[in-house]
Amino acid sequence: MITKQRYSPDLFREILETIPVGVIAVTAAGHVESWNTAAARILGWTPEEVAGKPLPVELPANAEEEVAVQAVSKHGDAVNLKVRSIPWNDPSGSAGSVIILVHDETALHRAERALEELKTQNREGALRERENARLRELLEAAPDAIIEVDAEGRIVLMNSVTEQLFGYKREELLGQPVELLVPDSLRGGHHHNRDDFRTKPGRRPMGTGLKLEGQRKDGTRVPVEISLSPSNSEEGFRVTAIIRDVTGRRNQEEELRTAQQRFTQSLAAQNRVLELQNEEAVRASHLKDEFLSGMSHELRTPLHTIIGFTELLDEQLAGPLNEKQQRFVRHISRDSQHLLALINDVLDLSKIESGWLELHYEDFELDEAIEETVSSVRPRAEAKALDLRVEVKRPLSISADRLRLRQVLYNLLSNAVKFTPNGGHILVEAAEDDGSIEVSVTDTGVGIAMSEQGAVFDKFYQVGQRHLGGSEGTGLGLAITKHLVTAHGGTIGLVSAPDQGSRFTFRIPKAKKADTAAA
Amino acid sequence: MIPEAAATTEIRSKLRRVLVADDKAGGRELVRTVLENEMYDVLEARDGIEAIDMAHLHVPDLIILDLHMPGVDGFGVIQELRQHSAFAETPIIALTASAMRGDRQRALEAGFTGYISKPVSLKELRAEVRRLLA
Repeated sequence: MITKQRYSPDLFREILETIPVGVIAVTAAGHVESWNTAAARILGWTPEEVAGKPLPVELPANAEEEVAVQAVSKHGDAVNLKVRSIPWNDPSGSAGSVIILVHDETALHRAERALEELKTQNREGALRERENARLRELLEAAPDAIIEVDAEGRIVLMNSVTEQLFGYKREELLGQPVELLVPDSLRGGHHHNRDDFRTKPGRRPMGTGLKLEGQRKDGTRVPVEISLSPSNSEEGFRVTAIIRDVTGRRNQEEELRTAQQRFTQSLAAQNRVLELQNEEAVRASHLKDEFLSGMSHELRTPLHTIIGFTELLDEQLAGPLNEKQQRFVRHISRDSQHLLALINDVLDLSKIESGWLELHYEDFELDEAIEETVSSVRPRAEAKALDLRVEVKRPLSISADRLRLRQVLYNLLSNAVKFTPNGGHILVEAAEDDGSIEVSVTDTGVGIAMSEQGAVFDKFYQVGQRHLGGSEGTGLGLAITKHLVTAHGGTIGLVSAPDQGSRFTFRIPKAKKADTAAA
Repeated sequence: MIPEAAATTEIRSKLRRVLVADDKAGGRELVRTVLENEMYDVLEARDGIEAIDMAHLHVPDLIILDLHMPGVDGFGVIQELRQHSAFAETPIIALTASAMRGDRQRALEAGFTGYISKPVSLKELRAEVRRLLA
């Protein structure tokens, strides 16, 4: 057992002044009785400053359990305390005195706070770390090369697509000027572009630039599209560049363009061929036209004087001819007229066969055209004492090529006159029938055997050859006649028997049919 | 009928004068023969230039032009002549061996007053000249 008497007041005092706990004794009246060194250190007031005075700070006097208290020291510092109070009877015997024990927790508290802060910081750091990781994932997941460049144009961030695209390793690029990726030829001027962008920053989307190219480590070029976006981070001005490899697309575009070009070229070539063919056809047509008209001209010019002088001789204006001379002149006359008819027919036929027969449609009375034609052959008919009659139901209005139709009528009538023996009969009939006009020329001539009837409309077929022992025809008349009728959308045929006579009938529409337009 | 040889200068001066232009001698002689028999005073030109010269020199009452002549053709001649008031009303006949459709129309549009195709019918030639000089 240890008794009180074994502790000297000095020892007690020594202990009191050396322990790190503030010990304050307060009288029942509230005055400081005792204030040890630790209390002075913790709260700032010396024992002398507080002795016999009320407590300079408020401290709980009835805290049997230790309580945390925050107080302000003499120097104005916040101090964190743990305080416990113990009732004590002082030597004077007066009750109500209290001993207050004060633990300075300030350092601990500060340490705890620091720890807490540290913990918080750690949490935020982890969060940022996670975020960074996610950003990196994103960066690496992007199909495009992404680099970040600082204000000096140095590469500060890049993804692995950048490595693949440009053929550099990460460590070869980081910290290097971005110009490394710019083609040699443009490298020198690139910093101007960077400066421009810095003064006028703004998002520049892909594809708005020209045909851009990047340069790989091996010096080869790669077509790219670049999108730039500026950012101002705490590290300063930064530019993020997203670089897309458009080799494939540009190749496709190139192929498409090439294909289009080829297509256009081949189309143009085809057109050119067609044009040339067309020009050739037009030229050929023109040449043939010129040939025909030239030929016609050249053949007619000598015939002009032959026929003209023959006529003059026949008229005996320059002096009388004897009978033999007159006969000679008539031979020349007849054969030159025949030659003229041949020339006319051959030209007609070649026009028809080239498809250049142009019909000039006009409205006229067919019965008048028949009368005119009949009167042109009447002298010859009368010379043979032929009975030439016309039976036409008037009026016979028609829309056709008047000259060509007269040519048809003339051919049929002159054949009839030619092949009908003296004293025979010729009948011309015409009538309208169901939107068409039917014209027939009937004679009591030599007729045509059934076996030959199919050939009469052929070229150079001479109807009367055998029967009359010679011909004055060209053999082209009926061929031309059939063509002319057909060109009018009509038909022609014959009924005939040898020595009984022939009946030629043609039938043409009263008006041009719509589908035979543009004559 | 007055034979050509008998036509004195005095008589000739009273005859109607016809200029015939044709590059073929046969063509010229044919028309000359026919028309002299009809009592016309006939002048000949061998091409377009000569036709223009002769026309200005002799001022004929009627001109017959072959359309097809080397150098200045019938169309060229009429184009030149029609510019002068002296030839504004002169009857001018186109005589051509061309037989293409539309030639007559083209000739009339060019200012010709008559159109005769070769080979000519003497009857037609006489009638046309008579008609135009009536």
